[in-house]
Order: sequence, then structure tokens, then C-alpha cells
Amino acid sequence: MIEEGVFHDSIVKRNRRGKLWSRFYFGSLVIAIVALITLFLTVIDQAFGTVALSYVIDPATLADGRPLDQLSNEELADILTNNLSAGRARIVLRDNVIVNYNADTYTKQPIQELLQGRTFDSSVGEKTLGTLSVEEVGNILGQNLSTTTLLDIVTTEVIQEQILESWPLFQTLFNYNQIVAENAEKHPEGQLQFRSWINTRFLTTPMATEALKTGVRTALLGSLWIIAITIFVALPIGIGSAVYLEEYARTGTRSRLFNIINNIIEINIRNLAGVPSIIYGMLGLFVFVRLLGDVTQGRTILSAGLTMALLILPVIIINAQEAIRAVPYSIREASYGMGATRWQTVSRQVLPAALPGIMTGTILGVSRAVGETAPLIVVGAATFIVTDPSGFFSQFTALPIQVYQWTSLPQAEFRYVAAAAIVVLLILLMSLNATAIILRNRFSRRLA
Amino acid sequence: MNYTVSNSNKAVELKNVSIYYGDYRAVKDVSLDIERNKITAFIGPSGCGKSTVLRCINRMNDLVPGAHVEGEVLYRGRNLYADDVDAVEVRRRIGMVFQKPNPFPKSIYDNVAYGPRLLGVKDRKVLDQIVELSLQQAALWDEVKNDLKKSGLALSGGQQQRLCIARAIAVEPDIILMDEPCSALDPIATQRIEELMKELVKDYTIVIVTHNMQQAVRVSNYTAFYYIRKQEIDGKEIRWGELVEFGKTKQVFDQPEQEETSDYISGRFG
Amino acid sequence: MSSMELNAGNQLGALSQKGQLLASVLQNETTDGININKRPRVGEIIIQNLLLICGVVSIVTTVLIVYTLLNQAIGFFNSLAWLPARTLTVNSSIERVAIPNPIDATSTEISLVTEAGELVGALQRIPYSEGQMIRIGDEIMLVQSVGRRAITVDRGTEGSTATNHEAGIPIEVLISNPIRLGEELSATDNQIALQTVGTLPFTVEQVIRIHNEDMRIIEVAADNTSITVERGYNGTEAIVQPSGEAVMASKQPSLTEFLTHTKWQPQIGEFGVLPLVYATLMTTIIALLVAVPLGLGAAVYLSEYASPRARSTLKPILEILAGVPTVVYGFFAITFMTPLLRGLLGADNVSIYNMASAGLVMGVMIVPTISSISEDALSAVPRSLREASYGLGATKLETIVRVIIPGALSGIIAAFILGMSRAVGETMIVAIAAGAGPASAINFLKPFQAGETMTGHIARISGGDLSYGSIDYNSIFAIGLALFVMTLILNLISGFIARRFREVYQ
Repeated sequence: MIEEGVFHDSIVKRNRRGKLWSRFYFGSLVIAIVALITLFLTVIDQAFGTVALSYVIDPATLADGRPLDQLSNEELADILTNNLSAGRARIVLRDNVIVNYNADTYTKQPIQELLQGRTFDSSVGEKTLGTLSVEEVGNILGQNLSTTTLLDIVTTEVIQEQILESWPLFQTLFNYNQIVAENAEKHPEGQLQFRSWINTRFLTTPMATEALKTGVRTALLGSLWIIAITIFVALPIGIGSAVYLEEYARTGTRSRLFNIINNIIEINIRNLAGVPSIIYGMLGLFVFVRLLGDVTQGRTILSAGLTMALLILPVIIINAQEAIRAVPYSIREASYGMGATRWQTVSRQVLPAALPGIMTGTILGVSRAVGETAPLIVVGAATFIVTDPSGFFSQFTALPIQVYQWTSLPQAEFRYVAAAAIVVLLILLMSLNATAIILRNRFSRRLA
Repeated sequence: MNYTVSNSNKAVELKNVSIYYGDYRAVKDVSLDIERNKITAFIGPSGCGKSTVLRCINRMNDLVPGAHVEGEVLYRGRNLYADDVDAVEVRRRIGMVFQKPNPFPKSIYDNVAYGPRLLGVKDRKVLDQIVELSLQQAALWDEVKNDLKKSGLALSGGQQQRLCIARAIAVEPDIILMDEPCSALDPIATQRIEELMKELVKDYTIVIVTHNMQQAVRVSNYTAFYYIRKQEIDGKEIRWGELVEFGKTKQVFDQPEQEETSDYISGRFG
Repeated sequence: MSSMELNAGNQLGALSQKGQLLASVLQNETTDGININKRPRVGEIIIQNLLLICGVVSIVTTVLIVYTLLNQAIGFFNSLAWLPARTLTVNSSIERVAIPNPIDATSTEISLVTEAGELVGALQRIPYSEGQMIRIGDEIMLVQSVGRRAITVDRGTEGSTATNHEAGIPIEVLISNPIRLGEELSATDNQIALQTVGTLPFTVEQVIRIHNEDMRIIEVAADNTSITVERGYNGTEAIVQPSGEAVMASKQPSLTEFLTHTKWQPQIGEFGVLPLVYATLMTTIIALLVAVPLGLGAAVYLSEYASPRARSTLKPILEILAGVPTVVYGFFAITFMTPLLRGLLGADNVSIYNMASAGLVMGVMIVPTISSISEDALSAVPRSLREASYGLGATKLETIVRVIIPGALSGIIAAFILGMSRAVGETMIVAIAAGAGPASAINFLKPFQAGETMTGHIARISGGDLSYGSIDYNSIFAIGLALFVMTLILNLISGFIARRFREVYQ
């Protein structure tokens, strides 16, 4: 016989325990979410911040205190004329205006030949690069380059900014005094400036060895190229496989052998989805880079794209299978009942109805490909390239590769650069997913 | 000649048809004739195989893995299950309307035009005419003529089913198979479909599976009654469907020859 | 066409307007008869076969993976590392001192200070230098760095095994004596005079290399001064070899060594994969310690407590976690987790690169995997079971712990194993945060030390300039094969358990 009080105690205790554990369950979820938020905050913290800069020439003194970004082309060209040596000016001209030149002969060619199609005073047409005066170079630069480019040249050639130290965003926001104190102590010449590590310059310039000058242009284009190849290869094959497995392999009378093959394909796809991505990289390295090296020309965008295509194939197939399976059977029955053939039924009814699901799945797969790093490292991303990828057979780098490389560099500034690259990567991923949602909504509205 | 035309009044003739799913025989030895331009009803308890027999007439069972048919289904003198017969072509001549209205998730127009388009009709004017005629035949035209672009799924249940009928007759089939076409509909919609069937039977042969005996009495000329047989083999109960009685509807309901039929009709089981 | 046929298709005769419309457009359609003959549907057949080919691509992928890994791993086991042949002798000019304290098998630091706080053996300074080999008992160690009171060593080198050592065992300094040709060797001479000290480390059948020429040893002279060889082995050319030329000895990796040795440095003939495996296990275990409670807790909350509305907002957040690229997690580990750990536990106790940081972040990464599969399993437990438990007066928690979790156990275990498989195969987090040194010392059970995992090693090696055919290149495929086998087994187990679970409730 249990006393009333004992029973009451026990139920109170039991309920208390229940409450405690329910807090634990909720807490687990909260921890996961907090981790996600912390992750994003860490990235943002590093993508913006304060830098201590030093200059060879203070920008404030260059144009009588006017901000440099308000100067005209002529004024900027004058700054260059006044501050560059003749030799340096000619190199700037060569690298920014002439760009394509024959390394053996360009010093002997007349300017009118080197600058074909560009603007220049006719008086310098007969001269060679070596005989141009600084003023003449300055004029040509001012006539041919955009204000932004000129400003860039002024910054790198004349002002010669250098980062002495950098601090992250939250310290800048909440503890700026400490930064000021630290800076005053360590770098008396350092000028503090707020810096967004992600900026238009960062997006539009190729890689460089200095944190201030480097950019993600090459990597971003590389990523886009690889995505394009990946989609082009994986999408048709993935949808084809899914259609085969759902619409052809499952129905109708088939031989035993056929059923066995179909089962093997199914199990195989499930297992492929669990193979670590770095293994795909090794497959790509051996098969695409080496065995098929004559076709892919080695460590190229094509090899990378094909590797990524194989990597996301299982994801696309599994998602497409689910989307196809979700199409009601009655629609197929109706179509077959009308005297439609299998392909007519698939192409006119099943695929259109499954399309939103297939697209969502594809974008999931592509998002994975965009963020994958390990296979690209193994396939052989270039460690340093500055030229835009121009085709299937270009060397490549990609956004996540840049994040990895910059994260691994010892100089602290590159952490900030890596964070900026991560922001670009995440924005790319978000826009992919947004596209998926928009496309899906549009299609499902059309189908409803 | 690749075709023969029977001059009898038989639209379809089933001869000793047994239907298997893998090794399991679902229906055994069905023989019956379906008369042209008449409505034949299949009735019987659930699981007696009436739908299975219906679906074997246009080879819909081909789509079920492992299903196969023994015996002969003669259509215009040819066995539909002969090796040289094309199942897709069969389904185009013998159309089907399903239990649940299943319009495609497309416009009303595209639903009806689906069949003709499959056959390769591209001319917009011809399609327009076919769509209009079919919808008129299915008694839906007046209700939808102003919004043919509307999704088929936006119609009411009864309208959807009539749309499915319009879709089926758009390719001028010989025979229309209806698998419990009214079971998902309310009484008023059901009545409209029944009236429509009586109208359509002037142009087509109709076979209908129904759960509702009143419906069979109301619309059909012939009735086939199927029933479940059971047998114990090695301690396992085996069930299959069999055709018990077939004849003019009036006769089957008024003077059934078999005891099971009269029991079922009078509601003693099933 | 006969009128009989026309009449027979009775609705065809009086063909409706629609029938005529159809007939007018369709060529093979006839108004006078019906053709249900089999048609050659070539397009259908082509498409079906194209689709089948698509389906087969995935099988081809698997075949290619297995072929790649096997082929190149076999290449690894057939490749040779060439090392200068040498003998080791004790340098008697350096005084032997006894180790003052016992040494643990995993410790890499040897303290030479006695309890009195002075250097052992009344030494003024430690008499060893970096790069020197020392021997304690049977174990040979390589001196990595020399401090004022202790030395850091690489344990268990030269094929010896790291063991525990009692205090008082003497430290011997070894000299490495390269083996060189004692006199000029003509292109035909089979007898090679050698110049070295101590017992020659050669065995019969071993292949040696002297300046691009391979030779197979036939006999080793008993007095350790010469060997008899087969010249120009392996298709190399027998050439005149000048006196003093260095002799290289070959070393081939064996499967046993690969699986049992505790040092991985293929270029110098150390082929034990275990340190990489240990680091992999270490990071995986840490990750699971984080992900299993969090993932299961989140799954229980979502499946049993959360309102449908809360679920529909919370689940996508977890999915975002799953969609973050792993390289971003790596960045997070090195910029947030590592400084945090160093701040909490002291910078002296936590290396900049450490397995704990990588493992913890990896745990966060696999939470969504575990929670989503576990949640599916939990919600598959039939309502009737819950109701039965509530009906007996159980509280919600008791129902969850005693009925629902056991009911979904196989699904939950499958989720754990799948999460484990992901952790084992994860590359970027460990490549960035766990450490990237040649894994030699076994840092098992030392989570705050650096440790290179299998994946991390593959990434680091292939990130550099890798020349095909080098032993480094081949070695990553051997590791890849081991990794593939590990994850495959885990995935198969997970799939098997999940399938069995499905059978229970269907």
C-alpha cells in the first residue's frame, strides 16, 4: 500500500525530471542554433574592421587636402606625373594600357604600334616606350584609363599603402579606445581607418600576394565555370538515371537479371552518396587528370567540373527520384489510358510535374559542389593564378580553395581576406538557393 | 490485311481469361462478350477482381510489374495479348476513366487536347474543334467554354470527372472503360455522369465497374457479377475472383441463376 | 475498302465530325479499320537505352573509384623508397648518462634534470644536438630539439618501437656511418668492396642502387667488407662506379607495416598509417561526443515537444547548418574555436593546431545529419505505442525514454553511424584546424595536440606540387583506399540497421 504523500512526491519528482530533460532537449537545439549564429558572426567580425595603415606619401597631401576619389582623370594623371620616376611610369603604362605586348620587341616598337586603337597625342606616335617622358606617359594614362583604375594606380604606386595591423569588427565597435591605444604604442606612424574587406575592388581584382590588393575575381569566375560544367553534365545524367529507375526499371515485366541490375544501381547510388568527397577528388586526379589527360589537358576546369559532376550525381539522382515518386500515380494512369507511350507519359506529364522538386534537388547538389573544397585540392587547383579562366582547358581556382589558402597563410591579414571570401561564397550559395525557391514557386503556381 | 472487322455485335470477347500477379492468380477463367453500343456493368464485392478484368481489356495491367494474362481477349477478332499487338495502340482505341477524377495539372484545353496531340495533331484549328466537340459530348462545354485556360484541377469533382470523360473521347475510342467513375462524387454529380453515359453509349461501347448496384440497374444493359472464391492449400488460404453470372441486367437482378448472386444483390453479404 | 468493314465499325461509318477531323490529319489513321499492330517505336527504344546508360553512370563511378584506389594503392605497395644505406654505431666519445626519470611510451620530451634540479651526471649543458640519434634500451630516437633542461625527440625511429623506459637506463649517442664504395667498380665486376663501420644492414635478395644502377645482392661477406651482386638489375645499365659513391638501400612498404607501424613518412621509408588513423578516430570521437547528445536532443525536441509552427521555423535553421561549406567550418574552428580553447585552458596546454578544436566544430557540422535521421525514426514510432505508454500513467519523459527512443533505436543508431562516417571522411575542418605536420608521434588521447588525420594528410600532400609516380603520390591512394573501406563499412552497417528498422513497423 503506497501512502498518498509518497505517491505525490514521486509524481512531483517525475514531473520535475521531465521538465529538466525537456530543457535539455530544447537546449541541444538552441546550442546548435547558437553555433550557427556564432559561425556567421565570426565571419562578419573578420570581414570588416579597423586597419592601421602606413603611407610612403600621405594621400591628404597629394591634392591639397581634397579627397582623392573626387579628382578628375587629369588631376590624377598629374599626381602620377609628379610622383613617379620615368622608369616606373613606363612600367605602369605597359601593364595597364599596352597589356598585350611581345616581350622581346616591345621596347623597340613605336608607340603608335603599341597603342593601336588607343588615344594618344600624335606627337609621341613615333617615339618608343623608352624615350617617352614622364609627362607624356601621364597624359596617355589619363586619356586611356578609367578614374577608378587611375585611383588604384595612385594608391599602389604613389601612396603605397601598407597594413601595419588589423582589428576585427566587434573590437572596432565596442572597444575602439583600446585599438587607438595599441596603435599609438606600436605604430606611431599608423593611421587608423575603417575597412570593409569585402568591397568592389576585392570582387573585381585577381589574386595578389598582398592582403590589401588581392581579390576573388579569378576564384569567383572559376567557381562559376565549374558550376556550369557540373550542371551541364550532372543534370541530364542525374535526371536520366532517376527517370530510368522510377519509370522504366520499376514497371512492366522484366527478367530476373534486369531486376538484379536495377537493385544494384539503387544500392550503389545510396552508397555513392556516402563516399567522402576527397575520394572523388582522387578519382578525378587519376581518371580525368591522368588517364584522360589528353582530353582534359590535365588539371583544368574541365577535370574539376567532371569530378564535381560525379560527386553531386547521387544527390541529384536521389532528389529527382523522390520528386518523380511524388507525382501521383493517377496522372500516369490517365496518360497511359489515353494511349500515350512511356516516354510521352514521362516527358509530357511526369517530368513537368516533378520539375520543381527536381530543381530544388539539383540546386541542393550544386550548392554542395560550390562549397566543396577537398576534391578540388586533390584534382589540382592552381595555387596562384591571376588570369581569368577562359575555357574548359584553363587552370582553375575556386572560391572555397581561396578561403582554404588564405586561412592557411600565416599572415594575420589574410584571415580577414578569407572572411571576405567566405562572405562572397555564402552570398553565392544564398542566391543559388533563392533562385531555387523562386523557380519552384513559379513552377508550382503554373502547375496548380 | 492487318485488320479484320467482326460483323457480329461483339465489341470485346473474353475467352477463359485468367489474370496473374506474379504467381498469384487474381482472376480465374472469365469468359464473356461485351456488346457494341451497350453498357456492361461489372459488380461484385471488393477484391473480386472486377477492376482487374476491366483493366485487362485495355492492357492497363501491363504497367503492374509481374502481371500477366492467360486466355484470350478478342477485340475485332484479334487477341489483344498476341505478340504482334501494340498495347499503346490498344489503349488509344479502348479508353479509360478512373475512379478518382485525375485531370492533368494543366488547363482544361490542354487536358482535352492531350490525346489528339499524342496522335500528332498540331493544327490549332483542328485541336480547337476537337476540344469543343469533346467537351460538348461530355456535357461540359457550356460550363467551361469561357475559361478553357483555367486549370483542370480548379473544377469541381463532378466537372473534373466529365473533363476526364471528354479527354478520353477526344481521340474517338471504340470502347470506354469506367472504373467506378462515380465513387468519389456526390449524388447530383453522379446523376449527371449517369445521364452522360446514356448519351455516350449511342456512340461508344461502355464497360463500367461499380460498387453501387442501383447504379448498375439504372444504367447498364448487361451485368457481370464477380465473386471471391477461397480455397485452403497447405494451410494457406488462397483467394481469387471468378465470374459467377453474366446476362441482361434485368435478368441478373430479377431472376439470378446463382445463389451467390441473389445473396449479394439482396445484401446478405458483400 | 469494303462497305462491310465500314459498317462494321459502327460509329465509324456514321463517323462523328470529330472522328473525321482526326482522320483528316492523321495519315496512318484509317476511317475504315483499326490498326493495333505492333509498331516499331524506335524513338522509345533509343530513349530507354539512353536512360539506362544514365543509370549505369553511377555504377561506372563506383567501379572507377574502386579501380583508382586499388590500382594506385597497389602501385604504392610496389614502389620503393630509396634511402642512403648506413650502419649505426655507438659514439663512445660522448659520455653516457642515465635518464633521471622514467619515460612514457607516448611522451616526446625527455627531461634530463634530476630531482635536485640539476642536469643529470653533473653535466654543464646537454651534450646532444638536433638531428642526432640516441638509443635508450632498444629504442632509437631522433633528437628534434635541445632545450636547456630537456630534449624533444621523435620516438621509435629506425624501425624500433616506442616503449616505456625505467629511470637509470643510459642514453647512447649513435653515429650514422654511410656505406660507400671502397674502390672503383668496373662495369662487369660482381664483387663490391664497401667502406663503412659495423655490420652491413644488407640481406640476400635485397636490391640496392648505386648512382642509377640497381643491383641485387647475392651474398654478403661474413667480414662485412664486401657483397656479391647481380649487376644492372631491373633493366638498369651496369656502369663504371667511382670509389666513394654512396650506396642506396631500397625499402618497400608491406601491408603489415602499413597497418601496424606507428610512423608515417613515406619519403624516408616509414609506412605506418596508424598515426593518421588515430588522429582520424580522435577527431571523430570528439565530434560524436558533441553531435550525438546535441543531435538526439534536437531530434527529440523537434519530434516530441515542438509545435508544428516551431518545427517549421527551427528545422530550416538546422538545414542551414548542414548547408554551410565545410571550409567555412574550418575557418570557424581556427578563428573562433581554437582561440576559445586556448583562452579557456591556457595557451600552453593547447596547440594552435589541435584535434579538439577540429573535432568540436566537426561535431556541430554533423548535428543536422544526426538530428534529421533520428527525427524521422522517432516520428515513425506508431502513435499506438505512445498512447499505450501514456495510458499506463507514464509522463512524457518516461514515454520518450522508455518507449519512443527504444522504438526508434535502430534508426537512431543508424544516424550515429552515418554521422561517424561523415566525420571520418570530413577533410577541410581537419586540414585547416587539426594540424599539418608529418604525423609521427602518436597523439592519441592528447586532443589538444596537433594530429594529422587521413583526409587532412591527403589534402596537404596533394595541395603541394605532386609529381605522379612519386611515393607520396601513390601513398595518398593507399590512405584513400583505407578511408574508403572504413566509410563504406560504416555506411553499409548504417544502411543495414536502418533497413531492419523499417521492417519492424511496416
